[in-house]
Amino acid sequence: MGYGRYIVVRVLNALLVLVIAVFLVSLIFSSVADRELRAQIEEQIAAQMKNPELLKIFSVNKTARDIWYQTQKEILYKRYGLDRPLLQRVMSRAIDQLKLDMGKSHTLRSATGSSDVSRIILEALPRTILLFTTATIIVTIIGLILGLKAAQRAGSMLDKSLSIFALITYSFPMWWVGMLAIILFSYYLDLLPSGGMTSIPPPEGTLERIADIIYHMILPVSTAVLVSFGGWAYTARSVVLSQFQEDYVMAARAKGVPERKVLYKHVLRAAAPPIVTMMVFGLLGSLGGAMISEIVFNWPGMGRLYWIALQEHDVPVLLGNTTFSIILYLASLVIMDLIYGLLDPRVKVGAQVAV
Amino acid sequence: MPLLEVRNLKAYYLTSRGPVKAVDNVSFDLERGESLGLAGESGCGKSTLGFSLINLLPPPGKIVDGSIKIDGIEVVGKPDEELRREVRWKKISMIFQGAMNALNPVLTIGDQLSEPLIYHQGVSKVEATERVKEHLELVGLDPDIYKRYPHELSGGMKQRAVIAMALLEHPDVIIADEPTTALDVIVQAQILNLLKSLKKKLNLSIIFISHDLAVISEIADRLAIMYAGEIVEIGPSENLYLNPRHPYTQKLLGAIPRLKKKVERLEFIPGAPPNLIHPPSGCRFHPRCPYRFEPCDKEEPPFIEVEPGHYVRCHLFAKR
Amino acid sequence: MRWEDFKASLSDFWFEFRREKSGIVGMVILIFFIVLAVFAPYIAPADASAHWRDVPYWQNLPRAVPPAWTNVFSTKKKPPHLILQPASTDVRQMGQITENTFVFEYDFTYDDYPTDLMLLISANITDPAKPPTLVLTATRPDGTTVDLVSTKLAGSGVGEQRLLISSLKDFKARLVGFAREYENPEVASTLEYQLIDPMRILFSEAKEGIMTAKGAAPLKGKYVFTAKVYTFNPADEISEPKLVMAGKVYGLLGTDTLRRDLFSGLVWGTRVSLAVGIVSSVLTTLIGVIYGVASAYFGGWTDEAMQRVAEIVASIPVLPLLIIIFEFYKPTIWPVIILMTLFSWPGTNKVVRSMGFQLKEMQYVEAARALGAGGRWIILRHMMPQILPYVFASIALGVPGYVLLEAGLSFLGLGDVSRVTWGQILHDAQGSAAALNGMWWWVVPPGLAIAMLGLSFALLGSALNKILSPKMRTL
Ligand SMILES: Nc1ncnc2c1ncn2[C@@H]1O[C@H](COP(=O)(O)OP(=O)(O)OP(=O)(O)O)[C@@H](O)[C@H]1O
Ligand SMILES: [Mg+2]
Repeated sequence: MGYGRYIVVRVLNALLVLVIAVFLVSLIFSSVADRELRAQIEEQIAAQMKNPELLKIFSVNKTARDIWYQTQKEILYKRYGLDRPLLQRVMSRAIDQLKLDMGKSHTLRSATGSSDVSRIILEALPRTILLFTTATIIVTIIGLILGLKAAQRAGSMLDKSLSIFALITYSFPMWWVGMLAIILFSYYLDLLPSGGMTSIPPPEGTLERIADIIYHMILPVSTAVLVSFGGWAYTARSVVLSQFQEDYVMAARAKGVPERKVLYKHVLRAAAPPIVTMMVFGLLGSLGGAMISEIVFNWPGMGRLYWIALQEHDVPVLLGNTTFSIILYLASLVIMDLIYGLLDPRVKVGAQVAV
Repeated sequence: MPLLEVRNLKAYYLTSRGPVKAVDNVSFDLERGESLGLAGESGCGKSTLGFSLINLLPPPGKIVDGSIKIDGIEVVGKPDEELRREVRWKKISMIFQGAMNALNPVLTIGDQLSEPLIYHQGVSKVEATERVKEHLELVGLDPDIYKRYPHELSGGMKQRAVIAMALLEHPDVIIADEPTTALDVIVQAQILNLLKSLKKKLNLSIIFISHDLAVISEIADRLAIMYAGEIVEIGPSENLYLNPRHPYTQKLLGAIPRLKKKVERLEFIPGAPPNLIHPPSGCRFHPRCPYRFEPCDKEEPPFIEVEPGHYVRCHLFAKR
Repeated sequence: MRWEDFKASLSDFWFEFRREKSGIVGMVILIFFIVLAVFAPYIAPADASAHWRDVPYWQNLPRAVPPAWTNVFSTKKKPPHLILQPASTDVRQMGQITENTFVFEYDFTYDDYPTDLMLLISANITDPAKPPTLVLTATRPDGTTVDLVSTKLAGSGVGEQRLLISSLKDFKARLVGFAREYENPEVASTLEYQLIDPMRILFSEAKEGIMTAKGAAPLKGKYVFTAKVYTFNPADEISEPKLVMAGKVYGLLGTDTLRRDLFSGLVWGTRVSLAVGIVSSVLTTLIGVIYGVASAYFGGWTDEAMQRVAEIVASIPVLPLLIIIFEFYKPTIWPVIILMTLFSWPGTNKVVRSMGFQLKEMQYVEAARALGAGGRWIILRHMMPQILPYVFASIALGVPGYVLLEAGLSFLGLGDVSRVTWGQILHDAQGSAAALNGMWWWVVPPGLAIAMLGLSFALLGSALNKILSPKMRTL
C-alpha cells in the first residue's frame, strides 16, 4: 500500500463517515420535525374548520366533514412532502445538506445580507479555522519543545511540574478559562479586548486591520494554548520516553552515535508518528472546546453561530452548522492522517501495516 | 595477554527496592579468535553482563565494581565520550537480543548501518555506502537492501543486517545476545551457519549468549554457565558437555534431549530462580540443589579448577 | 479468583496505592464531592434544585451580589443580607378597621448600601374588594423621619405576600423628595432620574451630595422602620411580618442576576456531574471491553469487520451530533448519559483488543483451547483478570472527559432542564455577561468544580496506571 493508495483510502473513509454522520443528523431531525409538522397541520385544519359556513354544512352532514378533513390533510401532507416515506425524506434532506443546499435562515444574515445558510456559515468557517489553526500551531511548538526537554530530563523538576500541570489542565473547560481570562485581562486589568474579531469600527488600512485582528486574537488564542499545551507536552514526553527505552536507541549509542544525534535523528523521527496518532484525539477534542470558547469571546465563527442558532431555534442554521462542523472535523482528521503517512515509512513506502 | 579480561565485575540495577545484583563478581578471559558461550536461565544476568562489557547499561543499571580490559584498555570508569569515540563498535560491538528491535523503524538500513563509519571514522557518505554494501554482501544480503526500511525485510534478513552492522568496523570482540531466539528453526540454522563461517573467515572473537545450550554447542569453543548473576562453571565446551560438574549445569544439560532439538524452557528445574535483590546466602543454588550439604547455605563456594581450564563454583569439589 | 486471593491482591493494591501521593489527593477531592452530592439536601435547601428555574422562589435574595466572606478582604464593609423580625408588634381595633403596627430595628454600620428593601407578610384576606393598606415610615439615626410608602397589599386569598418596596415608584419619589431638601438644587435638576438610587438616599447623611453616588456618605446608626398595616374586615389576619434588607453580599458564593443562591446550585450540580461522569465512563468502558474482547477472541474476518465499524464510530464527531440530538429530543439525564456513551467506546475497544490478542498468543490460552475448553471459559478465566486492572484505570481516566462534555452541552443551553448543573450556571453567566461585568463569584466556582472533579479522577487514574501497568507489562 503506497502513499497514494493510503491517501485515497483515508479520504474515502472520511467521506463514508461524512455520509453516515449527515444521514444520522437528517434522521434525527426528520423524526422530530415531522412530528411538529403534523401537529401544525392539524392545527391549521382545525383553524379552517372554524369557518362559519363550513360549520353550518358540517353540522348537518357528518360524513362531509370527515371527507373534507381527509382531503385537506392529504393536500397539506403533499405540500410539505409528508406523503413520501420517511427514509426517502431523510435521504433527500441528507443529500441537500451534502450539496450545501441548506435553506434559508429565519433570523440571521450574512455580511452581504444573504439569508442563505451556507453563505452565512462559509463566512464563519474561515474565522474558526484561523483561530483554531493559530492556536494549534503554537500549542504544537510549545508542546513538542517542552515534552522533549522533559523526556531528556525525566524525573527532573521540569518533568514533574509538567506532569502536574498537564494533569490539572486536563480537566479544565477551555471556555471557562476564557471567561476567567476576560474577567482578569479585560475587566480588572483592562489590557485586552473582551471579545469580537475587530474593533468597532474597524481601523482603516490593511495592515492596521490585520494588527487589529491579531490584537483581538490574543486572548482566545492564549486561552486555548494555556489549556492545551500541558497535555500535548505530556503526550510528547511519554512517547519520546518510551522510544528511549527501545532497543534501537541502545544500539545507536553502542554504535557510537553522539547523544544529540540519538535524540534528534533516531528518537524524534521514530516518535513522530505515534505522537501524531496520540495527538489526533487531543486535537479533535479541543476543536469542540475551541468552538464553545468562541461564544465566550464573541468570536464570529461557527461556535458562536451555534450559540445564536440555539438561542433563536434557527433550525436550518443549526443543521447546516452541524454539517459543516462534521466536514471540518473530518478534514482535520484526514490532514492528520496525511501527516502521519508522511512520517511513517511503513505507510509511505508501503508494505503491509498491521494496524 | 588475553584480548578481553574481566575481573570481579559487579553490575547492579539500583532500584527503589534495593540493588538488583544482576552480575555479581564475574571474572573470565577471552582469547583472540575464540568464542565463549554464555548460558543460563532467563533473568540470570546474561544480557546485563553483555551490556556491561560495552559499558552501556540501561538505567538504573551501574557497574559498581571490577575491571574490564579490552585489548589492554580499561573500560570501567572511562568517560562516556571517550568510550564512544575509542571503544564502542571499534573494539567491541554487539548483536542485540531481538535484533528486529535494534533497527530504527523510520530510518533506512543503509542510513543506520553507515552511522558508525560516519561518526567514528569520518568517512564520506559515498564511501560509507560502499563499505556498507560490501558488508551486506558478506552476510549474504542483496546490497540493494541499503535503501530499504526495516519493515520491508523478513526477520532473518533483519538479523543478517544487524550482524553486518556489528562487523562494520572489524571489532576485536563481538557480543551476540541471543541472535537467533526470535527466529524460526530453519532461519535460526542459517544464521548460526553464517556466524560460524564468519568466525572462521574473519577470525572473530565472539561472546555468544543464549539460554539454549543446543544452539551454543554449535559455536562455542568454551562455555560459561551463569546462575543468579554468577558464573558457576566455565571451561572448554567439550569438557562441560561430557563431564559437567556443577549440579546446576548437570540439570541444565540433562534437560536437553540429546538430539539437537530446540528446548523452549528450562522450567523443569524445581524451584524458582532466586530473587536477585536478596540472593540466597552461601551458594546461590543451594535452595534448589539436590546435593546440598552443611556448608552450602553459609559459605560462598570458591572457584575450583577441577581440570585444566575447567573451573567450578561448588562446595562438592572443595578439597578439605 | 478465589476470595482469599482477591482479598490478598486487594490489600496488596491498597499498600501500593497509599504510597502514591497523587492518588491520595485525588481520592480526598473525590470523597469531598461525593459527600456534597450525597448530603446535598442537608447542605443546601432541599428543594433548591427543583426550583432552580422558578424565579419567584428566589425573590427574597439580593440580586447579583458577591459572597459574604468578601467583606473580610475589603476595607469597605458591605451590608450582608438580613431578614429582620419585628422588635415590637401592636394591634389596634378602630371599628371595622384594624391597625397592625410592626416596628423593625436595623443597625446600619456599613460603608455601602443595601440593594433592596422587601416586606414579607402572611395575610388572610376575606374580601378581595378591600385589600389591606401598608404605610411604611423610617426614622433615621439623625432623627429625621421619612415616609417611605403607602400602598395597597394584594387583596385576595391566604398566604405569604412579598412586596419589593425599593422598586415602587412611590418609594423612589418620596425619597427623592426628601433628598431635594438637602441637595444642591443645580445638581438635583441636572441628575438623570434613572440613575438615582433611593436606597442610597435612605441610608445617607442628609447633606449636600446625598443624591449622587460620589457625594453620598453612609449614615451609620440605628434605623427604625414602622410598618402599619390596616385591614378593613375584622376577620382579616396579618401575621409573620419580616423586613428584608437585601445585602450587597450573600452567603458562601453570592447570587446571580435572578437572585439564585449560587452555593445551592453548586452543591446540587455535583450530583449531575458525578452521575454523568461515572456512569458514562463505566458504560463506555464496559462496552469497549466486551467489544474488544469479542473482537480479539473471534479474530479473523469477524475481527476485521468489527474493527472497521469501531473505526467509523470513532471518527464520527460527537459534539455536533449531540448538539442536534439534544436540541431536537431535549433528553433528561439518563438518555444524555447513554447518548454520550454511544460514540466513545472505540478507544477502549482498541486497547483491550490488542491486549486480548497478546494474551491469546500466550501459550496458556492456546493450551486451554487445546484441552477443549469452551470459548467463554477461556475469556473469563484468562483474559478478564488481566484486563481488569486496565479497566479500572480507564474508567477513572474517562470521567473527566464526560464531565467536560456534559458541562459543554449544558453551557450551550442543552441538556437536562429539570435540574441544575454546573454547565447551566455558566450558561446563565454567559447569557448575563457575567465575565464582562467582573462577576467572578458566578463564573469561578462552577468551572473550578468541573476542573477539580475532573482532576480528582485524572489523579486517581494516573495513580492506578502507575500501580497496575508494571504488572501488565509482566503479563
Ligand atoms: N532496568 C532494570 N531495572 C531493574 N532490574 C532489571 C532491569 N533490567 C534487568 N533487570 C533484572 O536483572 C536481572 C538480569 O536481567 P537480564 O536481562 O540480564 O537477564 P538475561 O539473563 O539476559 O535474561 P533473558 O534470557 O530473559 O534475556 C533480571 O532479574 C532482571 O529482572
Ligand atoms: Mg537477555
